[in-house]
Amino acid sequence: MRTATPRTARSAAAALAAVALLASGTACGSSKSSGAATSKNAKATGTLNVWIRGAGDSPKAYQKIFDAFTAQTGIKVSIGKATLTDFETALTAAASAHQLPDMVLDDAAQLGNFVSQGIVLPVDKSTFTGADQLTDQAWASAADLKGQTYAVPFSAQANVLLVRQDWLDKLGLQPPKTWDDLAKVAQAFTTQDPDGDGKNDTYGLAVPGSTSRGYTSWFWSSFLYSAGGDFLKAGGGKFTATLNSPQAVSSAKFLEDQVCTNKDVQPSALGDDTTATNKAFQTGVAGMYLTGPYAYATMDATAVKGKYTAVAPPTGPTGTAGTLAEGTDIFTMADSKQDEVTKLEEFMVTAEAQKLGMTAVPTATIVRLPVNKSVDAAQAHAGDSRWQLAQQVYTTSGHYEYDNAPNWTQLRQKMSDDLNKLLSSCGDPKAALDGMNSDVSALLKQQGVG
Amino acid sequence: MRARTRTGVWLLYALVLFVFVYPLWTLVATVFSKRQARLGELMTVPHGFTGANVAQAWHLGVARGLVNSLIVVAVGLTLQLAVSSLAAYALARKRFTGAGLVMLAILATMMMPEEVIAIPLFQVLGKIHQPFTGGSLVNSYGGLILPLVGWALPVYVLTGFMKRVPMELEEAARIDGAGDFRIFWRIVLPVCRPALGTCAVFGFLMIWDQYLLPLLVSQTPKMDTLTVVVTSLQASQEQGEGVRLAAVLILAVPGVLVYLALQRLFERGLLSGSLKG
Amino acid sequence: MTVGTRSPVAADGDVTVRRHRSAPAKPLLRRLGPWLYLAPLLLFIGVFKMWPLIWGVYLSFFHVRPYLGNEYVGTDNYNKLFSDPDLRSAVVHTVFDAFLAVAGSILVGFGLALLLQGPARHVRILRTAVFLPTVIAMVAAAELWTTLLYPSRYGAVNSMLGRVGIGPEPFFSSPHSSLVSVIAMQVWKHAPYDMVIFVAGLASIDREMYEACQIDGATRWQRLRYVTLPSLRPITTIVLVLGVIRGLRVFTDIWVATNGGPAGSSESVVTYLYRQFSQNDDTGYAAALGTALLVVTVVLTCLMLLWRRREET
Repeated sequence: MRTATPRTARSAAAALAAVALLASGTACGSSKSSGAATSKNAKATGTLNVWIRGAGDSPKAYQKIFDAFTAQTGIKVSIGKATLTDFETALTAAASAHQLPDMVLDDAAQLGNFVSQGIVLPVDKSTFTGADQLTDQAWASAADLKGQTYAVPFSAQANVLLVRQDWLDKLGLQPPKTWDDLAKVAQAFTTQDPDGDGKNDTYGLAVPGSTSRGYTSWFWSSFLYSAGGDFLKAGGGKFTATLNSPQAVSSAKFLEDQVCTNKDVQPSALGDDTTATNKAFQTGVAGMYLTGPYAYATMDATAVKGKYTAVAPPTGPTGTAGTLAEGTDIFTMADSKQDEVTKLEEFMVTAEAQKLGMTAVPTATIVRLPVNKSVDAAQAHAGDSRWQLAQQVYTTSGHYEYDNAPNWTQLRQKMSDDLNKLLSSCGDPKAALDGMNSDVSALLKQQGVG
Repeated sequence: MRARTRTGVWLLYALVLFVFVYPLWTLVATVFSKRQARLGELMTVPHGFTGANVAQAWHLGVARGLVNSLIVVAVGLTLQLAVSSLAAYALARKRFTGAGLVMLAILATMMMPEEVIAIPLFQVLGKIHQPFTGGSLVNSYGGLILPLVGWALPVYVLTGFMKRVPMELEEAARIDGAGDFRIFWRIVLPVCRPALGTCAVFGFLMIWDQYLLPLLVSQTPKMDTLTVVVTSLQASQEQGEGVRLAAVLILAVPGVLVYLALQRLFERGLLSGSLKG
Repeated sequence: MTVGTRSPVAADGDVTVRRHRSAPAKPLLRRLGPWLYLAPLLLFIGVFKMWPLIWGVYLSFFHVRPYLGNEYVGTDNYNKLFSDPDLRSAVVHTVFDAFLAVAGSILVGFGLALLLQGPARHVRILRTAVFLPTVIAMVAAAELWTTLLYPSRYGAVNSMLGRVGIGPEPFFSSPHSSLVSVIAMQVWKHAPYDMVIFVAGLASIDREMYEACQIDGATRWQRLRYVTLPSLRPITTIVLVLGVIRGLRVFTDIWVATNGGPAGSSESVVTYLYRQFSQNDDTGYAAALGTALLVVTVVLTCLMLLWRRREET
């Protein structure tokens, strides 16, 4: 027994040492300030680390642009996280540990959010090469409440309406121009077996009604705008919620009618995100889809190619044309190698890079509508007139959301929850929107802009 | 009467198989079907045979994710079992002051929802530096593996099991002059094989199942584990249902294989009452 | 238990005895012995569990802004816990889910165990097959179930329902059925596990008691009621209590299958916690929520331990 003990100690100590080696260095890391994080980047090999909210072929398309940039400047770029699911979760976590990438490509809707977290650096338009090449509409979407620019717009888009032309032809219908037309066509697609398979398995309207990422509200916004309504009213650095206006109520009622009364949306609508909704349109479950022109590429890669047409979104009861405009922005993250990042940003908005983004990878149109004035969308797409339509819709009736609110995504989430509840319970739209209005007012106050 | 009960029992067997096994079978059938499945469709028999879905998924990051997951689970499980059995040996076979406190600390970690500490854990990972590369544990195998090593379940199961190993075995070896570690390694551990089998199955599943940790820790496609790849494939739009389901299938298969391989040990471990410990 | 007292190292714990009979260097090592075996585990737990835990509690007193400096807010985050209606409904969902899923798993698991107990070969094969849902990753199970319950007429379950003239049912995509669908999925995944435990429990019941019953001419139902169920009571309560405690932290199932939706109808406490972090950038509030959840779990577990001890004595 006496001889045993030292052996115990020795062998256990060996095991301990092995583990300690694996997990060693726990003591040398101390709480980091942002200064320390900068030095982390200085130590890095000079490669720019870029995160992209995108999946599938999109990262490949970005890679083409980055390759062109590296060829020109010698600055290396590597793509880090590239995903659609839980992208912001990963980004917030990275921020909380001071492990941010140098550059992030994300929806413009994240702008206010990033600004209020302090994780993005402002952009100096006066020294930005090629700043005057970009459209004012795009630049405006990248500014915060006080007018300070915090991102470089990279791509823009506005929703258009995709309609199954073959279904229209079969039933002898015209593409809808107004809400009334839309409801009629949707009804016909649902009840008159437009795919002719003898089964009652088609629906009129594909709706991404999931509350995740706020899709319900995101989809609704085009109707809200074409009814002549709006989410908020801005003034003096403050916002007022305008969600219980008669226009807003009429747009919610219209959607509710489609879901509850006419039942002409795909049955999974209230749980579907855009991916699932895209599939519903691609596979002939639903015949109309209000979505961004990036969907052309997505749809053309599937069996629905050539069977659908793109038209301007239907106008509201008062004849107003309005649709949701969106953008992808380039964000310069805090602690980044700012000079190199700016060079890359300047390159990414040149005509050359914008064209690459539109066409380099046919299945992923990462630049939807160019932000560079000298690039013509339809021309870049070999005269595809659908892009001309998209461009025209964007310029004449595109409305951006309030991306510059301190946390627009939080507001959008709340509105989605409320709207989804209305659509699934088929309740009174006026009461629901009154509730939504006070919810949003409360959140605006909480964000310090109410 | 008897015949009727027997038919009834077989009908119940069929129902049970239909509920618990048939869905898994349809997953296989749909993945290998030549005709692409419609949204939400699962097939009873494949319509024509093709490996294209698996091949396509394979090239869309599933291969990389599988390799990463296998690395994480191999290293993580080895460390987990090593660390747990060492600790269990001390807790089961030694008396020392503070043993109760240690048990309590381990119990505390068992109650701690992993998801709850994931955010602070991630920040801690950012503060720990690796010995050779100097980088933090974020976006490294260390970050994917090390947080999973200390787990209460195997410690409990093994402690419970080791307590039941007769002391005489150990004493006989001690008379022969065997040291403490030798006794642990040569005598106690081999006897504990059923318990180790149980722990290996649970440990494998626990590590294989990880979603949040790799989601946060991996910051490049190179480091993504299979769960992360599968959920992000769900969101990419170019692929058909077959490809998505192929990825799901590849994620599901290793757990099944490990279970089937260790099933004997696993059931013996459970039956020997280690779960009452 | 009695074995342990005969451990040769046992005397080391007694400091006075040790001093009298050994040289000063060795006892230190001897006393360290058990700790050296424990050290790796304690190191891992300390670094990767305790440190984050304490760090989380610390963060819960701040408005966390990594790049703008944390702001000390006292107990604000905790006060908010009590006035947050969304949290309240998440708590309701979580408790509902925990109890129903666990009770469902136990019932189904018990039924499976009754059907599939015993050493016969075909039964063993069936047991192995039925156990499979338990060993596939939760992410895979959730993805499979979103397909099974896909709310169009081609969805696997809906196409079957369609044949008997029902549906298509929305399942995960309606606020009225999302939580119930999640529970069904959890029962599917956990019931086979409970089955194995019950099979073990059934095997340990004294055969003689059954035989005694048979002699008394008891019916099958009486046997179940007076012998089987009472014998399984202790094991059932443990499975139930542990299951409910574990159920309070449900996350991955819901996150992958429904993401807490639609309209928050399947939001659990932990998915809500995550939303605070990832969507609302409120790390401090998320940390407070996590701390509160931990306290609740600790209290419940202590109650259970106390109660178990009293049951045993």
